[in-house]
Amino acid sequence: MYQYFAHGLQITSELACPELVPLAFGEQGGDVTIRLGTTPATLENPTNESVLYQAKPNQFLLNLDQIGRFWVCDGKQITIEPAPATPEDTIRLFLLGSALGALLHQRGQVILHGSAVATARGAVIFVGPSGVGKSTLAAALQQQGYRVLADDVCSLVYDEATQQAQVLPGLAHLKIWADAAEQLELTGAVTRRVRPELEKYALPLHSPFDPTPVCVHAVYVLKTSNLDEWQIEPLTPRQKMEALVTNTYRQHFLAGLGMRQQHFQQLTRITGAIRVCRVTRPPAGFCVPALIERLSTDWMGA
Amino acid sequence: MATTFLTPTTHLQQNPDTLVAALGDETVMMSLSRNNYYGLDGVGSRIWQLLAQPQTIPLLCTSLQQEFAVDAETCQRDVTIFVQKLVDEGLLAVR
Repeated sequence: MYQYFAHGLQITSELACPELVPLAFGEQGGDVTIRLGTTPATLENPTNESVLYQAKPNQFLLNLDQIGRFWVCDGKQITIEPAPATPEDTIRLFLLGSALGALLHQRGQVILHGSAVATARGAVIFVGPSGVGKSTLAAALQQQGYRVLADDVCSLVYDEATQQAQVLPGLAHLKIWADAAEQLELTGAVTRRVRPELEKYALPLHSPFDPTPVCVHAVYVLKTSNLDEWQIEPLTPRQKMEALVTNTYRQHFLAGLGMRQQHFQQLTRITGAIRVCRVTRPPAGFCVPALIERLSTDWMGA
Repeated sequence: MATTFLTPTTHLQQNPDTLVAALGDETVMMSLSRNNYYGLDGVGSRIWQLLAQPQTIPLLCTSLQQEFAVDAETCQRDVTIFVQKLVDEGLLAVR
């Protein structure tokens, strides 16, 4: 068995996961166990289902044709039944994506679809639709010496004692598109494709892993617009809630898992403690240095 | 969806299918069935609080006129408009 640390959790896995940070924590196992085995073909009486998954409280089944089934139970266990000849890289992509996402939702953790870096003012998180440049931004900030805390899935907790939201770090690499690696002159630094058929590559993190939670300073919601100008606007409480729900990782799993109310309550506590801004950039020429300059001025000043 | 016509005797109460939180001066609400978000200001938040119990528009106006400096006619008009919006968004149970 392999042992890892991610999203504030100790994970024991039968499957080697180079994407996660290895950690030794004794014989006792940890918070989460990942096994290869037999899964049910369907769930009985699911409260919610789509073509690819079924869900009910504490149970989630991801069923991917020609890839495999992922059965997620009680926020503690993931059982994988791979289809014959599925490459391990592909299995891990769904394991560490949707399956782990469902598990974190079962545990009531807030997970945003975005990347995060540590700044002098605290963690800043970048969310927004796929392709808007979240990982590219994190990779570029890493080049400038910032510590990357999260990529793709960013875990948050609300700390009662300090009344602050915190990012739980936990990954060993970033995933970036080939063109972004080229633009940032990182083609020599990327290691391997994250999935055989995708032009997306793993980029190792520079800093030694530190599992200490980092207080959140701001969340930036990235979007493109047709206006030929930049805008950074702070959001009202209602807009903050809407932005954070919309950018929750695998948000559509929540209803079936019976976790929407709990999620809403967690988000209200978190939104009260953080600044959330909408960032619009001109459609043409995603200029990373210009974006970083504007964002860092905002997070240092606000 | 057909609009519910409100009369002085229509009974109104919070729809339990709504998630609510106070954030600063604003009340943020989410309708679970419609997946929509709403923000209420100070007076709107107070009306929402009153709607925890069954209310009619005249009852709401009586309570609000004790708390806010507003004449009966304005209060009646504004409350009706506001409550109608809540009803249209499915945030209130009506009977």
